[in-house]
Amino acid sequence: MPISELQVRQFTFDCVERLGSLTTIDDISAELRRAGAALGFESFCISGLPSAGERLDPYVLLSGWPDAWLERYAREGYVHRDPVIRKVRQTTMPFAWSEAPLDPDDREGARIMREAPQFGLVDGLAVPIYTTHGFQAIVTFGAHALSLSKDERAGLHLIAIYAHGQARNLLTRREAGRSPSPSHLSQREIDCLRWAASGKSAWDIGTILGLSQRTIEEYLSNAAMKLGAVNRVQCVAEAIRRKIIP
Amino acid sequence: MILLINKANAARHAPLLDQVYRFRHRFFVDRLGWTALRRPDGREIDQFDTDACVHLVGVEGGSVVSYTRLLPTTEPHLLSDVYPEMLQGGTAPTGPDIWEWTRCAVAPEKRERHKGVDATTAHMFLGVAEACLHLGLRALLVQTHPLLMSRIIELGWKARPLALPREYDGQPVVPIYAGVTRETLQASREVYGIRHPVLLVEGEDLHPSDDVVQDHPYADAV
Repeated sequence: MPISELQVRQFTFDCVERLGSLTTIDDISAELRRAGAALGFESFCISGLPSAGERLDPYVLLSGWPDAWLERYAREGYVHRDPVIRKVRQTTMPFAWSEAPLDPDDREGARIMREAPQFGLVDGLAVPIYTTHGFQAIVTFGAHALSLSKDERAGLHLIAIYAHGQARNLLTRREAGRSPSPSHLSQREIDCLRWAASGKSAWDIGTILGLSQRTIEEYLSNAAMKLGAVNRVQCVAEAIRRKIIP
Repeated sequence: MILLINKANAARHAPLLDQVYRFRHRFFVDRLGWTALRRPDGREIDQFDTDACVHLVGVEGGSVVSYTRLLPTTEPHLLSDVYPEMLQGGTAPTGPDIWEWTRCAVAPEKRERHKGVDATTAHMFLGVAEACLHLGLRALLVQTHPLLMSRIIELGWKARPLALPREYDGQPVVPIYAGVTRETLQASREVYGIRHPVLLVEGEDLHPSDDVVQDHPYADAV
C-alpha cells in the first residue's frame, strides 16, 4: 500500500523513537518485524560481518530469518560467497538484493541466490552499517517481492541504523555485565550443547540421552539464556568461544 | 589536545586561526570539492565565522590536524539560512542551549594510517562532547551522512532524525538532533578507551594534570 511522504516520515520517526527506548533483543525483534511488515517484509537479520574463514554465528546480533535458512547459511559459510555481502562491503547506502552484481561464472553465489527464495527470501533490502572501530555490519530485510518508494527506502535505512545501534548497545552492556565463568551451566545443558554442536537436533539428543525432545529443548533454551544468545546457532558458537565445549 | 577558540581568545590565536582557514580550504574545497566555498587566497571563511561561533581546533606538533565549528542556533546558521530545504518542510528545535555542529574535518593523513580508530579523530569527537558540557549545551544539530549516525549513536549521543535522508549535491545527508549529557561523554570515552579530558579551555583549564598539557607540542605556545 503506497503511503504519502509525510506518513512515511512520521512512521519512521515513531519507529525510531520506540527502538531507542527498548531494553531487550526480543522487543527490538518485534519492533523490526512490525516495521518491516508495514513495508512488505517478512523477515530480517542483523549481523556483523566475519573475516575470511570465520563462522557467521557469533556475529549474528538478532535474527528474524527462518531458522532453517540461518542454520544452512551459517553451516555452509554462505556469508563468504553471498553476492549481497560482497556488495555490502563496498557501499555505504542501502540497496536491493537484486541490485547486487552476480558474475555469470559465480556458481556458488548463484546457488545462494537460488536457494534463498525457497525460504521466502526472494528479494530484500540490505543496509550497510559501519561502527567506530571499523567493524562492518549488515541489517537486511527479506520479502517475496520488493516495492519500496524512495522515501520508504530512506525511512527503512534510518530504522535499520537505530535497530542495529540499540541491539549492539544492549549486547555490549550484557557482555560487560555477565560473568565469564562457565560454571553456571548445568552438566545436562553442557551435554546438550555438545551434541547440538555436532549437528544433532533436539529429537536426536533426546534419543541419545533417553530424555524427551521437550526436555532437551528446555536445556538448550536455558543454556542460550545463560550465554546471552538469541538462538541455538549463536548459543553453540558462544559455548565454543568460551571453551565450555570443545 | 583540542583547543577551544571563541571571541575571548581569538585575537591571541590569530596565526593559528589563519592556519585553520587554510586547513578548511584544503579539506573542504580541494579534497571534498565544495567549490562554492573556494577563495582566491586559499582561506575558507564564511559569513558564520563571527564572534558568536566556537572553533574546536586539534593541534599536533604545532599544526592543525582536525577542526570543527559550533554555531549558536539563536543566530543565523546553516540549517536555518543555507539549506532549510533539508528539513523537508519540518522544523528543527533551536535555543540558547542548542548549537549547530558544522565543518568537521580530520586531516586525511591522520586517518589513512589506521584501519579502525585513529587518535586524532577520537580526540575530535571527545572534544566536541566536552565542549558541549563546558558550554552547558543540551543538543547539537548535525547534517551528516547517514553512515555517521551509527557512530553518533554508538558514542552515546541521544540522536533523532529531523527528516529522511536525501541526496544533496550527490551526497546522502540526514539532519539530526543529537542530545548530549554526561553519559554521552562517558560512553564516548569507553568506546575510544580514552579516560582523560582532551579539551583545552583557556582561563579555566580543564586539565588538573600539567603532564597532559605539556605532552602536547602546542602547549608551549598557549
